[in-house]
Amino acid sequence: MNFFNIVLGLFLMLLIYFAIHMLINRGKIEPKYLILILSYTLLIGIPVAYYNIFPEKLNLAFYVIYYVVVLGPTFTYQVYYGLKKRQSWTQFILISIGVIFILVSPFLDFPLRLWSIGIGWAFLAGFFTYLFRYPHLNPMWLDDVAKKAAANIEKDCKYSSKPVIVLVPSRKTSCTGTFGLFLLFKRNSAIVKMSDDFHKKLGRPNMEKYAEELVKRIKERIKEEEKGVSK
Amino acid sequence: MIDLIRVLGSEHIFEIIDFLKKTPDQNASFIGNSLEIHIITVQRVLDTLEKYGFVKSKEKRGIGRPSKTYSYLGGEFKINLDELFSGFDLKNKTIREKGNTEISFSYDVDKEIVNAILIGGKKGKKLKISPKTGRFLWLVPPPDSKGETIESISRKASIPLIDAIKFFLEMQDLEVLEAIK
Repeated sequence: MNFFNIVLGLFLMLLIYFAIHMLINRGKIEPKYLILILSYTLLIGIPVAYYNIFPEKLNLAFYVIYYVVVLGPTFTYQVYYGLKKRQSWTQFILISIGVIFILVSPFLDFPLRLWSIGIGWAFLAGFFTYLFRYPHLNPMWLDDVAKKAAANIEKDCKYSSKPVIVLVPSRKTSCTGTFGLFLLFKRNSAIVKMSDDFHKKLGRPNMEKYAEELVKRIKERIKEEEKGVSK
Repeated sequence: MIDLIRVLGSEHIFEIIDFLKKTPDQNASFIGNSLEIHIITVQRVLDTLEKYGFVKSKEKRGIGRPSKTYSYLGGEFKINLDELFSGFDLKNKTIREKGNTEISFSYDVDKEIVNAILIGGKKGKKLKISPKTGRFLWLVPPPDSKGETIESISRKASIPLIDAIKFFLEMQDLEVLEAIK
């Protein structure tokens, strides 16, 4: 094993990751997301891959502090959203268990180490499947739909920092967002909040009509995926 | 005027006025403790009576926060029914947000209420809103929308129609909301 193997492993990991995202997005990946995901994947992937290959060099304190710093913010907001009942715990549980199993792998001997990595990936695969079923949870897909939804809406309208309420019920509570857009699907309504910059970027669409169109498109897509699953 | 009518019709009004007539220069806390009425209720009654000139207040400074003491003045007031019910015509008016660039909102997406209005940007004036009217404001449709009637929004927000109309008029003056012609 050498650095070439590490790079190859990470490259394969990224390939799988983007393949799943491309399936959700039907092929569209924007550079800003590419850079973001690439950097975050490398940040998470490099130390765990390195210590898996050179377990004798493992520094426990560094390892723990590093991952608390890198993963802490993401985990904190996921827990916060869960506690606030803005989203179900499913995606949090899937990704947390997946990541934990992979992160503990350098501490284990063969063949337990391979089992740990395998189980971790199985949970991560579950997380990606969940993302595929509820594509609005994927910021890249949401960003794309958000732009398309504004296409046929009247433009040059006024902006308000107050969220728009769309009276469409949801079976599951979920929370998502992308740069400048925040969506909260509740049991009785959907809340669409956008920043002034985001509104401006879309050409200042009519906020009510835009929010209705966006929620409609998301709901239609979720229905399609659910139909696909039930088939 | 509706606030005065409400206060005059409230449960403890006679006890509070009687107490104040007999023992002037007392603060809301003392009156509340003596009559075993919640201080917020006493304060609301005294504030409204003071607004219409039936009691006067004096600021008392000492150790701790300054407090206000009240004395009974008495007097009379006339009810102008035309004025009182003039706003009620607005119940069927379709309203929406005005989209004033000087206004922004502080809100709670979980409770689904607007907590405050910020006039003149984040460093501007902050106007706090009660949870009930905050719920009403939360449900008001955005700018350039087809709008919704005050009656319909007040029903959804579970607030009395007259309070919703009064709140709308205040927000209209601040150019936060507008009626669609």
